[in-house]
Amino acid sequence: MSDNIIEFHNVKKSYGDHVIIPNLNVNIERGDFLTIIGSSGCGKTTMLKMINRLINPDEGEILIDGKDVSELDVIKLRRSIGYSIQGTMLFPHLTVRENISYVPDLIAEDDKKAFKYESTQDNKLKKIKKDKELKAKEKSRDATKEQEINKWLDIVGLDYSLLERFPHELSGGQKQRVGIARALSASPKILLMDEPFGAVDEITRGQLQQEIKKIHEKTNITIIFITHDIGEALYLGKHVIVMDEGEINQYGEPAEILNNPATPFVEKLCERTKDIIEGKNNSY
Amino acid sequence: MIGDLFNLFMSQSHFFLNLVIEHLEISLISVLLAIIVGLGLGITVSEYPRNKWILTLVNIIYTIPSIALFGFLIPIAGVGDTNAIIALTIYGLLPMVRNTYTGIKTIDPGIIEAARGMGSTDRQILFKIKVPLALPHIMSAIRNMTVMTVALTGIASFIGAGGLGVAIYRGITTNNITLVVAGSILISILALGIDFILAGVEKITAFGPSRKKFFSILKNKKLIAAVLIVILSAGAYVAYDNSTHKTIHIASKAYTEQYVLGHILEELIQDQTDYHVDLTSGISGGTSTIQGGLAQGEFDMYPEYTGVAWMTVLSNSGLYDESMFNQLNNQLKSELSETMLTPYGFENTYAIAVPKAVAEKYNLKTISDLRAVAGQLTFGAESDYFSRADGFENLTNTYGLKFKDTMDLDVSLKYDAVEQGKIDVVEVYTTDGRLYGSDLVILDDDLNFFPSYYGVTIIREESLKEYPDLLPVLNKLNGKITTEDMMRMNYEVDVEKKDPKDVAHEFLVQKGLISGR
Ligand SMILES: Nc1ncnc2c1ncn2[C@@H]1O[C@H](COP(=O)(O)OP(=O)(O)OP(=O)(O)O)[C@@H](O)[C@H]1O
Ligand SMILES: [Mg+2]
Repeated sequence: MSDNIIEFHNVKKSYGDHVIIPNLNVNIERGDFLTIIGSSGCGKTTMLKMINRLINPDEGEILIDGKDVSELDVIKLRRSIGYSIQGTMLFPHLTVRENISYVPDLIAEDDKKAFKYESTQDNKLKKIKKDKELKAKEKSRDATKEQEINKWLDIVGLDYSLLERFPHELSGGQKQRVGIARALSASPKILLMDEPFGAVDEITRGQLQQEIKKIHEKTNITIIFITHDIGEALYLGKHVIVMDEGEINQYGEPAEILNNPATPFVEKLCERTKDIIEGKNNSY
Repeated sequence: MIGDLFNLFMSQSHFFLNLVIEHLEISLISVLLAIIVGLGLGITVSEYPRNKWILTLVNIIYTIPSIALFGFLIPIAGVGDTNAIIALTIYGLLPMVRNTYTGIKTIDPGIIEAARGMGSTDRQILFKIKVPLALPHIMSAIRNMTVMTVALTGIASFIGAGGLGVAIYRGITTNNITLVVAGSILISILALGIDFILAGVEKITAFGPSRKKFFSILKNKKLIAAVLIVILSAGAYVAYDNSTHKTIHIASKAYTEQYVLGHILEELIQDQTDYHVDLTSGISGGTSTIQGGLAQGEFDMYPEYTGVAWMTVLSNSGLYDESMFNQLNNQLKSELSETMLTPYGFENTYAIAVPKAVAEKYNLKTISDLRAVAGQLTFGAESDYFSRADGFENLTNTYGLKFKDTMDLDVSLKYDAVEQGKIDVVEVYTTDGRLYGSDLVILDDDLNFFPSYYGVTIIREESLKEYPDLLPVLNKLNGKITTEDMMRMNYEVDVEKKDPKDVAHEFLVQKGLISGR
């Protein structure tokens, strides 16, 4: 049996009478690069947000490392999962640097509070020692933080000179790179990406695709990646899910999807890609 | 006009400086409170939709005219700075609450979801995302609200608070236009100056590098500690200063004679005792407001008139005359624990006057003499005279008068109207400064129609006990101010535009009540 990092068991979600996801069962392998494709409104984002509990399912359960997410501390759970939201959504009032270090800063802040709380429970001597410890810890954290940020900038291909800029001073492609760096900066084991490469030109898109592929290879992180572009889904995914109206039409490796479409919907979706590959479509 | 203004500022620079400081104190404390409370409420409303009624409530409060709001608070907060600060704070809430709410609600929900999805707690979302993003809205509210509050503070003197409104109010009630203009100009300068400063702050706090610097300054704990220490020690000093000296609080109403009397009491006590004196003059709410202040112990004493005490303070019916003085005083003691001292001597009652020419033409000496000729004459008075109990209707009934016509006039226009021959018979009060040197003749009240209004100090009995040195000093005024004196002093203020304080001082020196300096 393979090692599953995420499992959906009989998950159902509806809004009022409108059933979005009737009954979802999916296993996602550790270290996988899973792309999800499907028509607009079919429930991709809903599925993704159930993993970090931005949306709670009506029925069924979702497991991460075998544990029901609904029983985990929601804040810790979310901080351990990178999230690149649909539309990028950088924080407009924070610089590139502050955007990227947002989650590490949150973690550092809470650590410090917890540590301070602990030390108030101690006697004086211990307290002084602990305070010193805290200062040292903070110092080393500041140093590593700087290195970490630079590392992520390198990985997503951003120039250091952009660090002090605000989001409105960036191009679309730069924003998306910052968004990815922000999602990665706390070194999560799972990365959820909701159409991260929308609204950029083909060349930038190609570069971003290559970068995310490299990141995946380097870090053995598990990536779940939503896209509208079948070409992107097949190029990036180790596995691909084709979704329609909240149900999985096909779940397999790219070649399988392309060569053995399970439903007419998948076949239709793949036709265009085949055309391109076989050179029949010149209007592109 | 500009020359007058300049002279006024130069000669009274100390007076104006004090008013400016008071004005800033009142408005800035109110602004600070409104910011803190308004931010809190705005956040509560936007975080918990079930608290939306707060928004509706502050909206409703905002529609209450400011004067009315000051008035409503008198029974609760009394008169003076506290009331003003409460009213101004409440007034400033709406812009704060509304803009905080709008600022937070108009944030792209995607941004908040991103923050939530990355593992921020609700608190972190609020303070790291929502409030900073709502800051431009909040800052513009602070700016507008501050300017509004500085302007509104000008009205606060209506309920006995200090500030530049005092100058305006005094100007209006003593018919001194220059003073009104001076007060207004200073308020405008303050408002514009503050607006200018806040515009700068607004720019700094807008997104960008300067904002970061600004907030890193705010995070500087030493700096904040230093500012707090300065504020606290200033407060402690003021509190200490107030507690070491006993302070007598004097109130006076908002017309010339009362300003002068207030200053006479103030200077006499200051000169002859060790007590501090705090004079709140020009309380336009008048008798009822001041009485409220006495009941709450905010004021110790004020100059009043026997007839007013009888009719307005104690709501007695029937006409008062001086033979009832002891009865009146006993009633004040038993019902209000207040007491009247011996009257000053002058009588400020209503009277009927006619120009000398008219008096001679019809040979008029008493009001009864008018009966035969009233049909050819026009009667003029302030509009409230026509509705008052001891007013026009009773007067004409008692004396059987039928005038050709009547005319409602503002106090300040009455004498002009007489001069221009628009009215022939006019209702006046006996100490009116404009009577002094005018050619009006007062007709004798031969049927004793007008009640008696002798000027007298009313003081809380408790204050007399608490400040034992007070009574002998106040008694020095007994019978010392004649009607002629009072009329002349009113004339000096109203017509010669002298400062009531100077007029009071000259009077005290001239009567040998204080040593001249
Ligand atoms: N809060 C909500 N209340 C009601 N309906 C909702 C809500 N959120 C989403 N939906 C509906 O659920 C369906 C699935 O939405 P979802 O966002 O998962 O679609 P999607 O596959 O991500 O689409 P897209 O590719 O356009 O992003 C849509 O029909 C949407 O209208
Ligand atoms: Mg979506």
